[in-house]
Amino acid sequence: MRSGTYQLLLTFSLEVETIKFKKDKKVIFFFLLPALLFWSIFLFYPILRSFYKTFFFTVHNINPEFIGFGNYIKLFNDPVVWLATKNTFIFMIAAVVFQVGLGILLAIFVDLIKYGKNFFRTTFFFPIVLSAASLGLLFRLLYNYDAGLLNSVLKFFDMDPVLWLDASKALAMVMIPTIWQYVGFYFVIILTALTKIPNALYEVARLEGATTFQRVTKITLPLIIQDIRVTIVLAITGTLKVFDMVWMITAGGPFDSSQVLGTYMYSTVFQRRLFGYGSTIAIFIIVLGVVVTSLTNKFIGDKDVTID
Amino acid sequence: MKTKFSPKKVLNKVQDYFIEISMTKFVIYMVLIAWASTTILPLLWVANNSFRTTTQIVDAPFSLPDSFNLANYVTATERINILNSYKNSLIMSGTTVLLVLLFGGMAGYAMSRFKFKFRGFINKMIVVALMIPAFVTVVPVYEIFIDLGIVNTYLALILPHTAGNLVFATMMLSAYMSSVSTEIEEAALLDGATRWQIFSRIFVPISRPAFATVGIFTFLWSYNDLFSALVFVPNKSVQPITVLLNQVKSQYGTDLGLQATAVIVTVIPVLLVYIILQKHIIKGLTQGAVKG
Amino acid sequence: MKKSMIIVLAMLLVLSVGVVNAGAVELRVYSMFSGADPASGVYEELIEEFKAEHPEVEIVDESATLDESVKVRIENDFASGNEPDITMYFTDSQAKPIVESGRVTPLDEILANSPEWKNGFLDSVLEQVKYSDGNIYALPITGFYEGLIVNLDLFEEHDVKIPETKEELFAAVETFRANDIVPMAAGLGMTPHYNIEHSILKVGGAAAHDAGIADEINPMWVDGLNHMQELYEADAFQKDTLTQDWSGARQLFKQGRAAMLVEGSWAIADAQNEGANRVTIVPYPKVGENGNQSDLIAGFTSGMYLSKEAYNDDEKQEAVVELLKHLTSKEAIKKIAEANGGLPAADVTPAGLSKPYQDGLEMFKNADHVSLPIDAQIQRPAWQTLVDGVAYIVSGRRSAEDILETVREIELQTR
Repeated sequence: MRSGTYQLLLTFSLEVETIKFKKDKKVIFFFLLPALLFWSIFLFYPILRSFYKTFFFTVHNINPEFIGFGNYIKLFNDPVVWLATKNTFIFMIAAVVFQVGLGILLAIFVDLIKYGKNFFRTTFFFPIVLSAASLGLLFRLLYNYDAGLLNSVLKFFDMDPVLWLDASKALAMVMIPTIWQYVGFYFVIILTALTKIPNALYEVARLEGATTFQRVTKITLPLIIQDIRVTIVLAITGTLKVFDMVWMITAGGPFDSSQVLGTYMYSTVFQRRLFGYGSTIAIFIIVLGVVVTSLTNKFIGDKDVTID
Repeated sequence: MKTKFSPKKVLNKVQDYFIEISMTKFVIYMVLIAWASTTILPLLWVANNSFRTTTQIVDAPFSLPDSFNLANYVTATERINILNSYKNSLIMSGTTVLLVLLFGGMAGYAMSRFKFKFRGFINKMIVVALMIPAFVTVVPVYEIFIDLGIVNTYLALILPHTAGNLVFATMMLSAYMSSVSTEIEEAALLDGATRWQIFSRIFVPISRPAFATVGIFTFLWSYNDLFSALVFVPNKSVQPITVLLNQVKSQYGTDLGLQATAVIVTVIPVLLVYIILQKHIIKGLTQGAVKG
Repeated sequence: MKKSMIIVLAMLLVLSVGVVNAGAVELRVYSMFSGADPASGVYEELIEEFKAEHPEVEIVDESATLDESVKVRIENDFASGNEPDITMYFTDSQAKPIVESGRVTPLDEILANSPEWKNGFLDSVLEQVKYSDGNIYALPITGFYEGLIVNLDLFEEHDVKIPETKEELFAAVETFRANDIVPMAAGLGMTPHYNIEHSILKVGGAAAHDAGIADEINPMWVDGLNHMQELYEADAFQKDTLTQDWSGARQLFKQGRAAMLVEGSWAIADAQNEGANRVTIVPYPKVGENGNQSDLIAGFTSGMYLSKEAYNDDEKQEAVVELLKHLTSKEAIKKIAEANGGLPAADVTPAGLSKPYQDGLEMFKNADHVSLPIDAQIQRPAWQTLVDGVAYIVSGRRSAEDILETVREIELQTR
């Protein structure tokens, strides 16, 4: 009997099924209209204009000169773009594994404990609110060769100082703080998702004699799969836009070894002032993002799960 | 199964139970405390620096608190009208949050509870929207605002912030709403409820934790957006508090102490908003509605 | 959504339409004198003075530290006709989007009608801020000079001569390295600007430095960049210079861990670290045959622009010209120069300058020739390509010729 209930609780319906009404078309339109209006004016109209600009050579955003596919040809022949793309993909995998992974782990842990929930919920949020300028400074002071904290520690133990930001380590050294800073974000999202799992489910599982591990893998994770998918999409798109912390610590150097697409786009637009080419990189980033998220959705499957 | 009652066996079982529990709990607490220390120390470092001078920070960046000097806070109040800037920030980010929750909730509901032709297309558009960089939107939007004459008004930040944050809000809220049981919805429809009533009376209350989370991050991102603030509202009397962060550096040198102070001054309201809103991220409200 | 929430929302929206101004003449001003700028206090006083004298004029101060977002705003303001009535901006190659928008007034005639105002400026300075079409669009306030900032305590302690020649420079590098002191702090990775300029100037002389790159690649530019590589190989810079910018370099110098720093007059006060370092500024040593010991990089590369629309507006004209006059008067220039230690654009002597700044003015007066920085002469995309190429050159990953070839290509395309 008990076992039956348990089974029943864990069968999810995999389709969103609602009763259909004739008036639904109007209803959908009404519910979506405000968001679509905002997006059209403030996001899609600008990106279309930007797309148009990719066919021009423009410096300082003035006197555009039509060059056809010139910017796209330049993009495919620009070795820095490919290096930055490679780095961005490494970054992306690390972000999905560690950011989302740690976010899930910490959220489940906090959900499991009794004492100190609020303490951890509050403190894990701290890095997100600190500005990139202050965290960038902090990590520069940690990595600094002559006066940094890490080398001071090594010196204390009589070891040779390390050049933390050389070409072989720079990418890892900028990934660590960037990923660390936003773990709290994924933590909060997963924590939110966990609220929709009824305690009754856990109660049944406990009575069935399930271990903590089983409880997590058999109930918790399957039920928040939709939210995990959202966090993965956010981690992928977030990485494609990663910029400020990398900029503060290495600006993509040395020799572009920590260059990511976000920093390269920034320096193209704001330092070199090549708006047309910068827009081309922006379009490239968006196309990459759409392709990668579509593949990911194929991989995880994008069926909805409801608790019935 | 029948066994003979044996006090020793029971005792052993209880002991095993406690060992299992406490070992798991111990590891969990250790991991949580370890992570918390990495998140607390940087904030303490910044807070400590906010009481120090640039010279002190340069000479010993990681020294323990050595002074409790409020000079940086005094300078901060001279650089910017802090109360007025807080007010501007709260009006702009507060309005943004309310608009995003309303429109994002509506869009999230439509995306999660209906099947329609363009659903897949809109989902793709949402992914595209997530990646549009600020430099792409800033120029066209600025031109629109100049034409409308709303540069230097609160709307100049509220409108683009609402558009930008609606993307995340729609994703997050539709993911949350998608797992709500269909039975309640069906029952309500059969009772003659309108879609709006179902949305506002059932889905909004059920999704309160998700609304709280969206509110938190919308507030944070809108509040922290220095780039848009410097472009869309150049007039000092309308600028939000985050502009203080632009006021601490120049080629003449960066005032590291004042920078830390600016961070603390800007961070406090965000932390307050977080602490208030995260109270809603709790279990229990869903129990009645989600069948379990 | 609850009704109360919607009411609150409606109220906030009404509130947010905000800020309506009174009927008076309203003038919008943008200056870089804001926040951490040492002249921001003086600037605010000047604005207050003006307000007191002209109660009918309302001033909207849009000043902000000039970062990339503010640059975007200003360039776009000019592109779309929303420019402030008075704008402080660059007069070098970055002036292009401002002047070519056609929205700024040539000031030559206005100055000619007001001889007292015009005579306040040094003629040579007005010459320097002329746009390539021969008109003056911006009125300068203060300028800068660059050089080698040295930590006198370290030089004395290790008995090193302040270098004037290449040999002395490398001797100093060797001594400081041997004593575990960074000889020259620099941000070669992100901001090698000052090192590039001085290396080319002191290897190849002013003519080579000022030649630009459009016509040909001057061989002196190659030699100049190779001089930086030679220094890099001699361990002259801090080990992590390739991932640092000026602030990291300046920090080492401030801590007393570095003996030399190539920077500008704006950095002197900061480099002293509130008196912890005794410093002075000297010309970068003469490195090559064609270099000249006393030559400097110095000049005026910013000024106040006047909006054409404001000037042609009968209601605004008088007030806006008065305000421009007020902000660029001889007295105003003197006060600002005293605050930021820069070169005054007027024939005044700033009072109360500290010793290193006095040394700097002296150095400026003794210069045989002053050049504007290279980025005043070549286009921004080309200049940035050179800047980004430095790490590749000094580490030997790409040759100077190779990088300059790319730079020239971009320069030609941009023109």
